[in-house]
Amino acid sequence: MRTDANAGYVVLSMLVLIASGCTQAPPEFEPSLLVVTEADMVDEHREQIQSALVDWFGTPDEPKAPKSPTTFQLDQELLAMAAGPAGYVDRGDGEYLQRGLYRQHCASCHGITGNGMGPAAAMLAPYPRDFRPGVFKFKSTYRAAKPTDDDVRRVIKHGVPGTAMPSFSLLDDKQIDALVEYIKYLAIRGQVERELVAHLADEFDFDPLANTTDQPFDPDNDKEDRELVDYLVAKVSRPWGYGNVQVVQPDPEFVPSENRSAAEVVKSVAAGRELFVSTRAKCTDCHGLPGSAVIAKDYDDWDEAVVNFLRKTDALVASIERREQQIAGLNEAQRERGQQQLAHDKRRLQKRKQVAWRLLEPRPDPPRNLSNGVFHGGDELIDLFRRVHQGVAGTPMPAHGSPRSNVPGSLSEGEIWQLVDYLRSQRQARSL
Amino acid sequence: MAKKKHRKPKRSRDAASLTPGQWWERAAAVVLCCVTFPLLWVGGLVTTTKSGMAVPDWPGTYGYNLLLYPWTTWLAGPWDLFIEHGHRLLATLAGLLTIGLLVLVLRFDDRRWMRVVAAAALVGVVLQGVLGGLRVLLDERLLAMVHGSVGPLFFALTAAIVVWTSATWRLARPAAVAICLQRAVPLGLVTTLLVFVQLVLGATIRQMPVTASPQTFAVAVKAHLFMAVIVAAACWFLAMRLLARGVPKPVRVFGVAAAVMVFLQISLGVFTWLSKYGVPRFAVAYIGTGDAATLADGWWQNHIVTAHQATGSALLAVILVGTLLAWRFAPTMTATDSATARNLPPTGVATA
Repeated sequence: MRTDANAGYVVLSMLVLIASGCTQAPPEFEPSLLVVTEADMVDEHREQIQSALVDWFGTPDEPKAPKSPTTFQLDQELLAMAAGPAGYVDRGDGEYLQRGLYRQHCASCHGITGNGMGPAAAMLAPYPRDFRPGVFKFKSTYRAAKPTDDDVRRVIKHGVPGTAMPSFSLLDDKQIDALVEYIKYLAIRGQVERELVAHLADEFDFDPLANTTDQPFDPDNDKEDRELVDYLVAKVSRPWGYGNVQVVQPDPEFVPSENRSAAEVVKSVAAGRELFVSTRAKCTDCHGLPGSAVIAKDYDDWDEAVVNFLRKTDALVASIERREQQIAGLNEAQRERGQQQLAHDKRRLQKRKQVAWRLLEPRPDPPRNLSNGVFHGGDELIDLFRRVHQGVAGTPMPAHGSPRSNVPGSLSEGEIWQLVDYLRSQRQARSL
Repeated sequence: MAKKKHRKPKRSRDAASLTPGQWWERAAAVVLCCVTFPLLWVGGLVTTTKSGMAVPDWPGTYGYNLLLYPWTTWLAGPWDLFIEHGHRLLATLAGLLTIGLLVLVLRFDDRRWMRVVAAAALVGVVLQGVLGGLRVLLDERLLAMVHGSVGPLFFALTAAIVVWTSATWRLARPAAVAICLQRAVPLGLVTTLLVFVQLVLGATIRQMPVTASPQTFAVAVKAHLFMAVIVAAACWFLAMRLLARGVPKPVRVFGVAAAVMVFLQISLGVFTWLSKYGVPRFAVAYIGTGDAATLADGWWQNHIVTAHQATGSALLAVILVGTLLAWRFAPTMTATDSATARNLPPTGVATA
């Protein structure tokens, strides 16, 4: 009997030990490895930037809406609802608040940091969006402008057909609003991080060879540094408040009437086809002639950054090999300096290789196969109009309309509507 | 004038051969097994719908005793609360049934090893409950993965207990002609192990922490796919052995079940991917894509993914029970039988 009791204690102790040993630290935002490594930043600055970001933006479990001097302000209550581990928290008055929506629904693909590097990312094509550059593909606004809340809401609600991005239409409006707010938060945080890295790399003194700096970045105690962060937060946040005034509004004069006759539609489709194959619109350069295969030759901005990083890493390897061969022929002083530089470059190379291993393999961005009739950004007439008009931000799909109000584009609005008619006719031909 | 055929009313083999006490013991085993499968299904739904943390305390539910939590709030509350609390209630029922089974086995079963098995089932269900509770209290995905892997083991044990308490098992005599069953046993044991490894890989994918790297997830998925091929082949060969000529009917049933379920499981695996991530790019040229995106957490998605997990557990149980029955019905191996089974001449027989 005594032995049985002892065995019970042993099993219970083992369970408690296993359980306590399993406990993980709460997740943290990852630094933007590619950007920091490209900037050849010293470790001290890198850590100081991360510390400043925690002060201004909080952590994945306790996010903070940064105080911006502009009119734009993130909603702290919605952020709390989207952040943290999935579940409910006791509000203290017997009511429980939902939280963790982002981790529950988004993080497995987009990652905790919103860097598009969630666990499932490598298995998906296209890769999940990296929110940190603040660039969004499917939106109603001008190419360089931020999306409106409705644009982000719509992608969450309807998903992106033809990709792994599902529709979250079963979530209620408030839950979707919380996710929209959190995505904006991640985008703003990511952009502020990039701006800080760029600023410190350009303006601060540091010695990359010795990995030291005599100019620490200390916004806690240094007023100038604090003002710098405030300025960058305001600079990055402000455009998010302009979304609604940046929406591309078609000129009513050219919008096709709903009461067009069949002959008018046929004429418009024929004109659109002519434009499609013309050298003015250059559609066939990527999408191929009607019925032929698409030509994937370019990368989107996210993958292009990786391609450039890998090319530079290869160039550094070649440079190190070449200098190692040449160093024997140098005089003593040159050799000493050369060896110092080589040692530094080898450390850089080591870091770059570590980062390269963690990046997703870049893939060319295939242009939409128009013959299969699936339009990622929506298939309403106005969606296609805006896609042709402003292109797809962050991808090789260029804008054909005016880049901003009152500036002519390469195609007139009337011509863009003809192209839209042609694209829609391709879809209808498929469904017949 | 044709004679009317009079059929004797059928009595089940169990009812005819078991004492009343043994009958109750078997009935308890069947009910426990039948409750454990929906428990696994609802547990799978907890993972699929990411409802594991919908109730943040344990062993209570939002401060209430588990059994006293207002049923109206449970039924009318959020979906994730409904699933998680329902899982806990079913688990409690499984625990109580296991206690009942142990009492009946201790009272009516004179096989010493069977008493040990029933006690082990009780220890297993308690440990599984504690694992589930710790997973909630610590909000720990690794514990969730262990919890998700132990569940199928418990279910397979309950299925084995159903067989061990049956008249078929108690009255079985080796089938002299079914020599192939001798070689089915080691293959069955290996297949059982392979299926379990595959279940653990599946649980790893399902419970992958959101902080895991994409490379880790990709390795897990590729390993799961690779193992799927191995498991399918092993199940197929095992099914062929269990369906060989002369094999008694109770064993053949599990041969058919193994073949059907492995096919079903692979199909569910394909649909799991399609329902979660849509058509992979390489397959778009062959099957195209729908005009609409997949619906996250929709009824079909939730149940296809959960069915894939639950069918894996059912496959484990089928393979294990089939192997046990093959062992039970396998004739004693002699040197001649062994050589025949391997298509070799027996020792001392000259070849032409």
